[in-house]
Amino acid sequence: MKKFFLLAIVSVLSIAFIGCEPPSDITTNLREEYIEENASGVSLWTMDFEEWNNQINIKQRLDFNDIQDDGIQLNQVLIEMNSFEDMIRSARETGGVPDIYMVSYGNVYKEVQNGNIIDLTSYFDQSIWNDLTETAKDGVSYGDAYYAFPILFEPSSLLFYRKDLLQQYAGTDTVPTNWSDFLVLLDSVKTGISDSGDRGIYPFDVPKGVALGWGTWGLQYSATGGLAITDDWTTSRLENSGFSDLANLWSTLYADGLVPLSSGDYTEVINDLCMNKLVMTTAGSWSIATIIKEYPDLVDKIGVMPMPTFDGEQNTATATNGGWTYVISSQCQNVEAAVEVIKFLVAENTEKPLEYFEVSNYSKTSPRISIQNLIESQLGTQSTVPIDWVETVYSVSNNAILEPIYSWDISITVSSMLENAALGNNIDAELIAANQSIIDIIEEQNLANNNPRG
Amino acid sequence: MRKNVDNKSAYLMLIPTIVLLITFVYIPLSMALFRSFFESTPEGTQFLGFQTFIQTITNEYFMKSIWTVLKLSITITLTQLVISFLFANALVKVNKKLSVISRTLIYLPNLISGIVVAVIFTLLTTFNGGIINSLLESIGGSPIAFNNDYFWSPLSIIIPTIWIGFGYFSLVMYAGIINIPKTYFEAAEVDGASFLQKMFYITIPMMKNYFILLVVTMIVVNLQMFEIPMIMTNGQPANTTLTPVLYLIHSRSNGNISDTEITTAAILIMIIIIIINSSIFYLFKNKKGRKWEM
Repeated sequence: MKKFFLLAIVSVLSIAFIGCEPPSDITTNLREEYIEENASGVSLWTMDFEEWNNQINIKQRLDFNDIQDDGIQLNQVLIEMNSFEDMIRSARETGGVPDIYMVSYGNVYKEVQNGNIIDLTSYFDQSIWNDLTETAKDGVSYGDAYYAFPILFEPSSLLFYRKDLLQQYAGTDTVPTNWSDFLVLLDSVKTGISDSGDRGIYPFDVPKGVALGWGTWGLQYSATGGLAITDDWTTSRLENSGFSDLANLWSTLYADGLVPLSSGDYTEVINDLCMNKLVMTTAGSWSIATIIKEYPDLVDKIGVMPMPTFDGEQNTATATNGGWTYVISSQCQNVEAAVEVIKFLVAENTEKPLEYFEVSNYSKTSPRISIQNLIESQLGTQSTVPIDWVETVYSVSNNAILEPIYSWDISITVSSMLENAALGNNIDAELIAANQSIIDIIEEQNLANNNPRG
Repeated sequence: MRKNVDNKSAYLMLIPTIVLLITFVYIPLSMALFRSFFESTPEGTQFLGFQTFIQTITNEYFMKSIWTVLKLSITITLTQLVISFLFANALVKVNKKLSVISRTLIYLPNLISGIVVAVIFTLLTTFNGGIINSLLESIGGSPIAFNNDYFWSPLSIIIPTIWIGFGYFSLVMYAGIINIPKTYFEAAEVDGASFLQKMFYITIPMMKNYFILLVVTMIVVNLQMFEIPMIMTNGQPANTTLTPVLYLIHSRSNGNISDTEITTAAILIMIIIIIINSSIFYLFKNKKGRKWEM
């Protein structure tokens, strides 16, 4: 009998613990939400990002619902990033897909192709579309139609450097803009570290593993004037000498011990810079928010600039613009109301996007020209972020290319080639093998002349 | 009459299992299989036939990942079998108290999720600041890139995977060994059989069905492995430790891969598992009336 009771207690507790999982719907203690009676509900699914990001999203939902008698009640649900796509798919299958949800630029076409989202062109004034940067327009349109409204861009690669550590180990805090001089600086830093007897600190770090696939798109572009395949997706571009330069650069960085042989997640590599494990690193623009929020004492000691290039030219694409858009589901029953929500949050209103980018510490850029101009005019009076950081992020973002939407197999062929070069394999042989692999992928996957953006 | 009643009870008890299997396994599986022959386009659904299957089979990275996971699975399963068998033999010999403590301790890793195990091993093997590399550096050695080296990367997946399953394997082996009638060993001892002779002529043949159970279980689990590879190496270096599931995850989160391709790849993985497991059952089939003596 005792055993039975024990088992019952354990079972009840287990069920209670399982039941304690927080609900996916957002509850907030920001302030009481205004509930408009008899209003049409518009459902919005956003991703569970950093806490500050979630809080501003929730606040802006409350702001929207504060508008009385507009006949629209915005219901927001926060979804964990890794299961977002699965949740959307399941909801679609069961008829419960949200009216508005987030889609990355790279996935907009897939949503269009599957007929999951509606054409937004006629729902917004032409002036609203005209306000978007050219890159943003390219990211959300196919043919003559716009299928998504861009929220933000995040440049994938910037150079972050510690001025104090550079001064300590190399006697300078000036960073060259071309790779050859940059390598000389790295050698100098390495010697300085070695002479000091310090351990566990490396001069530089670059994307590794999966991030090497997408984190070097910008570098590929700056080195070769394009990506791994031609814009019409008909053939490989790996015979371009720039890829050989890039592979040699990777080989030198590893062979000379200028970068750690392995490192953590690219999205968190900024922590190594802030914890004195790196003197310089490549990182995405989102790292600015990490520095400001988690390492505020280091702000004055860190510099941000575009990635070096082979010819030293910085006014060129050195990164890709990733980021998010809002789309309206093809199952949406009240499109007009959903459009009003998007207008309020990102498309028409200037106050809300400005508020968002300010809270993000300008670690993300606006795809709207008007918002960019407002940010530029207001900088220096409000921001806790160094102005030169913000200027760098906008400069890199405005020069950046969109993330390619070709097969991931092509990107990992390039990243494998670079990794093999880094680990001492023959570079020419690796380039020939990778080139042939890409030609095979184009043929097997029937990619030629099928670039939707082409 | 009695037999009919027994049959009815048996069928009644089977109903919930059959209903659950049909609802959660066979219907989704049939739907997935059906969908793998179609693709959604803006113009509507298009019949592709075996096109996606051919495309997946000819995909260099997918096939490479299949070979990678096969090599990892074979290494892990064989190593696990041998060391667990030896350990279980040792457990039988030691005194009862020590045996109980050992069984409890070795089973503990099995209760930890793969993600936690991978995090523990990451703390040990991190290049800059990991426990092993810190120790190596303190004695004047160079740090090892456990997750970015052609030699060490597979090992940094194999060792945690063996560690997590070692307890379960050993306990099953232990249960198998203690179930062998002692009279067999006593008779062998009377005939003057050595330790190795007893192992090869009594223990191993009597344990055959346990081996099958463990090999089949491990093949199914290991061919779908992704938690430990994802956290330990994430496919590095140069995708040499990329498993099929990891490849699909990367493709889906970083590029364009259609739902049809993902479904097809998952079905192909399932077919490979079925072929391997059927081969194992065939190879180890019991000649005595073709009955499994579990």
